[in-house]
This record gives sequence, C-alpha cells and structure tokens, in this order.
Amino acid sequence: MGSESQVGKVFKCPVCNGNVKVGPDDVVITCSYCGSTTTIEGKAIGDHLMETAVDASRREAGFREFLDKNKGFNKSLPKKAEVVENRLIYVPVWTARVKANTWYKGYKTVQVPVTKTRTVTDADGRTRTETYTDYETGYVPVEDTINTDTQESLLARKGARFYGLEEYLETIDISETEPYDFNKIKDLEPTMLNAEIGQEEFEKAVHSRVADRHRAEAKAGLTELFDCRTETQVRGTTYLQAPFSLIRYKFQGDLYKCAIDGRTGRVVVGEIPITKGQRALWTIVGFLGVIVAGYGAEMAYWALAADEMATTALGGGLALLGVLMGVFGFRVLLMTQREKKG
Amino acid sequence: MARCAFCDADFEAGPGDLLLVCPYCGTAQTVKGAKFKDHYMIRVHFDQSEAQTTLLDWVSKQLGAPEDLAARARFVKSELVFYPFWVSRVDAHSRYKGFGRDARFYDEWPQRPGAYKRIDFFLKPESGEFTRRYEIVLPAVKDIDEDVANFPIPTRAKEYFSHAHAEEFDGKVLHSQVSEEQAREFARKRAFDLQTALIMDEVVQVDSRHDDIDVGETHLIHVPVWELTYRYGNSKYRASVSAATGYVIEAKYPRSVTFRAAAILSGLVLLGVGGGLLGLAFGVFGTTLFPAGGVVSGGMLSLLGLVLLYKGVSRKEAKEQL
Repeated sequence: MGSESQVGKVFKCPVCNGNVKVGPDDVVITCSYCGSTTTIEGKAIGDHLMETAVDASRREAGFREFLDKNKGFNKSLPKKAEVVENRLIYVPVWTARVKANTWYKGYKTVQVPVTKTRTVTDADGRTRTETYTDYETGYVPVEDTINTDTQESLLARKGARFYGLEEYLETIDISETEPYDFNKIKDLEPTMLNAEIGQEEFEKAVHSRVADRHRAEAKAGLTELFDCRTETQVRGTTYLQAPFSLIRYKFQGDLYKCAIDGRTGRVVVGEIPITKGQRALWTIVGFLGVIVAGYGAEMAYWALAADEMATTALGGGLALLGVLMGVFGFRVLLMTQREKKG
Repeated sequence: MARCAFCDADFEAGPGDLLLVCPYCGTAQTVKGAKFKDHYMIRVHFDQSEAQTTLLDWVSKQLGAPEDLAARARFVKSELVFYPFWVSRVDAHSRYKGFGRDARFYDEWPQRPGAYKRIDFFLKPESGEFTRRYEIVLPAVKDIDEDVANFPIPTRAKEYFSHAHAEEFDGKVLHSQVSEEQAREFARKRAFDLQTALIMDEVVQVDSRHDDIDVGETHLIHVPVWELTYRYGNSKYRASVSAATGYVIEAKYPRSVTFRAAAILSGLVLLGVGGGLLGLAFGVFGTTLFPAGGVVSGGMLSLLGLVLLYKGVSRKEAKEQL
C-alpha cells in the first residue's frame, strides 16, 4: 500500500510491445522505444506529421550567429558565451485549418465637418460675420462580416510553459512538415512530450480562440460592439510533433537563455547581456538627448512667440528626438538584459 | 499530531490541515483516515547544488549585484518544499436570456452619408449559450508566497506521487489545508464566475440563466520548490527556485556598496542639476533663464536622478520572466 508502490501509469506500445511510462493526463502517446504514436486506447491517430530537427552543434551554431548579430559593441559575446544546456524537446501540437465567419453589429463615431457662421468685431469696432468650419460628432451604424481561413496551431499540453515557446509556436509552418518518421530523429535523442489535450478538446479550444480574435478585431474599429457571432469549421486536424530547444548560456558568470527553432536551428527569441561599456555608451546618448531636448524646447518656445511656425516645428521635433534619446539611453543603463527576436 | 491510517506512524499536522500526507509511507489521506488516490507530483529535475548554482548565476546579472556574489555567497538554508495544489477540470455549459444594447440612428448628415446626428440606445432581448472547459488551480496552503502560488505548474512531468522521490531530496511535503470538497466547491464557483464574465460580454442585463457546471477530475499535485537562503556580507537573502524547471520564481539579492554609493551620488547630483534648471526656468532664483528648455532638460535629469536614488536605496527582488 501507500503511494510508494505506485510506479506510475504504464502503457503497452501496440507496435513494439514496449512498456512506456506515461503521465496521468496523457492522451496521445509516443513510444519511447520505437517512436510509434497512438492514442491511449492504442488506436492510430489520423494525420501525423513532424518537423525534422538539426543536431546540437547546428543549434549551437545558430545560437552563436544570433549572438553575433545582436552583440552590438560587445565583440567577445559570440565567442565567450558558454552553453550550459542545449536540449531538444519535441512538443506535441494540434494544427488545423479553421474557416471562420463572423457577423457583427455596432457603431462608430466620425467627425463631420459643419460650416458655421460667427460674428467678429475687428480693431475698429466694426462687426461682420464670417464662416468657419467646425466638427460635430456623427454616429455611423456598422454591420459587417469577417471571414478568415487560417492555419491554427495549439500546444497539446496543459499549462506547459517554456521560455519562448509561444513565439515558437507562431512560427510553425505546416508546409515545412513531413510524415512522422521516428527513425529520422531518433539519433538526436529528443525528449518526446505526449499530448494531454485530445483532438476533440483541441477543436473546441481553437473555435474559442478564433472567435475571440474576431471579436477583438470587430471591437477595435468600433465605439461599441452590440452583437458578434462566429461560426467555425475545423478541418484537416493534424497531430504535429515540433522540435523546440532551449539553450541556457553563461556570459561573464551570468546566466541567460535562448529559445531555438529545432528545425532550422535558428533563435526564436533570446536574452542578450549588456556590458558595462554598452551601458556607458547609452548613458552618453541619454545625456546628449537631454541637451538636444532642452535646446529644441527653447528653440520652439521663442519661435512660437515670434510666430515662426517652421522653426517652432523644428524645435518641437528636436525636443521629441531628445526625449526619445533620453528614454532609450537611460533605459539601457538600468536594464538587466535585452530581449531580441531572432 | 495525527496518526497514519495506513502505517500507524504518528506525525505532525496542524489544526488547519485537512488532507494529510504521511511523511513515513507517503499515503495521502483525509483527517478521518480515508485514502485519497488522485495524488500527483512534479519530479525534481534540479537538485540542491544545481538549484543553488542556477540561482547565483541568474541573480548575479541583476543590476547592481556584486561581482563576487557567486563566489562569496554562502547558503545557510536549502530546503525542498513540495507545495500542494488542487487542480480541477470543470465542464461548464451556460444558457442565458437577457437584454443587450442596440441603437437606432436618426438624421443623416448630408455632407457625410452613412453618419447620423442622433443615436438612440435601446435594449433588445438576446439569448445564447457558452460551453467551456476550465482547469482551475487552487493553492492548498494559506501560508504561501504569492509568486510561488501564481507560478505556472509545469505539467511536463506530472506523475503519481512517489514518497521515495520526495525522500531522495529530503523534501518537505506540505499537508493540504483545503479538502477535496472545498476544492471542488471553489472550482465550481470560479467556473461560474468565468461563465458570468462571458455572458456579461454579450448582454448588459441577465433575465434568466441555466448553468450546468460539472466539476470533473479533481486531483492534488505537489510541486517542488527550492526555498533557499544565502548569506552575502552581513545580510541574508531568500529565494525560491522551481525544482522542476530551474526557473527563479523570485529572489532577493544584495546590491554592492559601490553600486549603491554611485547610484545615490549620481542621483543627488542629477537631482541638483535638474532642480537648478527647473528653478531657473520658473524664475525661482530671481531671473528666468531657459523657460522651456529648462523645464524639459531639468525634468528629464530630475526624473533620472530620482530613479537612480531609488535604485541605490531600495532592497531588491527579481523574478524570472517566462
């Protein structure tokens, strides 16, 4: 008795008869010996694709390329970065074409030009009427549709979170996939994650996701959205095993991480250290910004008083530029690290 | 004290503990001694020294952290705590009837066809339904750090609870202060609220609704977190590191004396210069100089000065972003 005797759920692979250790929520299982993939009931799953992956050294090469591109003045970064972790994980993804039709109704407001007249008194005390243009609110009823047909991919795990995984999922391109073949990837010793979300649940979830997106899109252009209805058709649902990799690296004793697309070995998103020299340089930019902003504001102020519109605009522009330089410069001074997309 | 209904051992349990885990045989049981089966855990993937190294390497990149932090920090306490969470799967189906807003439009603007001068809102009857599946997570101990409670549970390696695995790392398995019934009730309420939010997005007034909320599988899961305390100089700092993923959930860290001194000093200087410019701009010193430039530049410098002063004085805490 006692939990100690529970050795976890074991699944017998219907293809090679191997005993596969599985998680309690797993519904689609990839055999850890032969790689064949079935549902927990042992049934074959429908369309099953994968992306091939590159080996650890190719991933590291892609990672160093990313560092090289983002090194800035920190010339030693690509060489001195020391990789401490470089794992390949195959994440389970459900993907499908989703055709969605949304009908919505609401209203928006526009500014309508209205010609008005007013009475003015000139310096000599004479009055006259003049016309001018004013703007009044116009209410525009909107009734429209949004029709899309998109490829939607969703991670088939509950609550799994890795750094950069969401960004990675967005980059998945179904045309770069091929039929699943474990032999092609087995030598890379990947961790194969099983799906915890089944096909039916995925199709429900993807409906909500597209409907929410359409609603947000409809809402964006309106003052108020009255009604919004979405109908979806999900077709071609496919189980896709997609290679993802997390590299952790050390630079000058500090730890950073990078999310890698396992198919191409390219970085999806990663952290870049900021050196002292870079901080100093950006601080100088910040202080230059302070001077430029002050000079520009002063220029605009006096030009405005003298009614010189061109100079006012120039001064205003300089002031804005200076403030931006200040914000970006001082931000780097105080940041822990940078985050860059690959 | 409590007595295990399975191995007869006496072990410690507080008055608020409702679901107990025997520290000797690992069996999860209610206070009345009924065995609880749906008990899972996340495995430890970062042992004590890996967690400590990861923490120090990560924390030493934080702004103002001393250069010799990784070399000079000494761990005074390293404890692996298995925090209990309840996870419920809820299938909710709601039908509703109510009133939603709509509008009529009058008096078209001749110069802008399609736009009207007046709008008149009214309520119109609306009905609909929502079907959703939720995973509701509830921390099962009250005395839990907010960051630990909100940290996503990595379901990656969810397995049946293994007492041997917890013992291997000398982990402390906390009892649940929430019973299964309470967890289910909480999940039901939470799902109901989420459904309500969906409905209120559609209508402004609900006339009638019918909810079919089915709280399905509800399990207890123990999540391992390294609670670390290290000493640097004369102070101690606490940190929580996820033992499953190595992420730093939160960490307090020292700021070097040099950093503090530099930040406070430059903060004061900048505040002085910035304040001086502002003073000149507003004519505080009798004469007005740079009325616009002084405000902009002085404002920027003062702001930076304040931020630096704050950075120099504050005690710091950092969290790893996922």
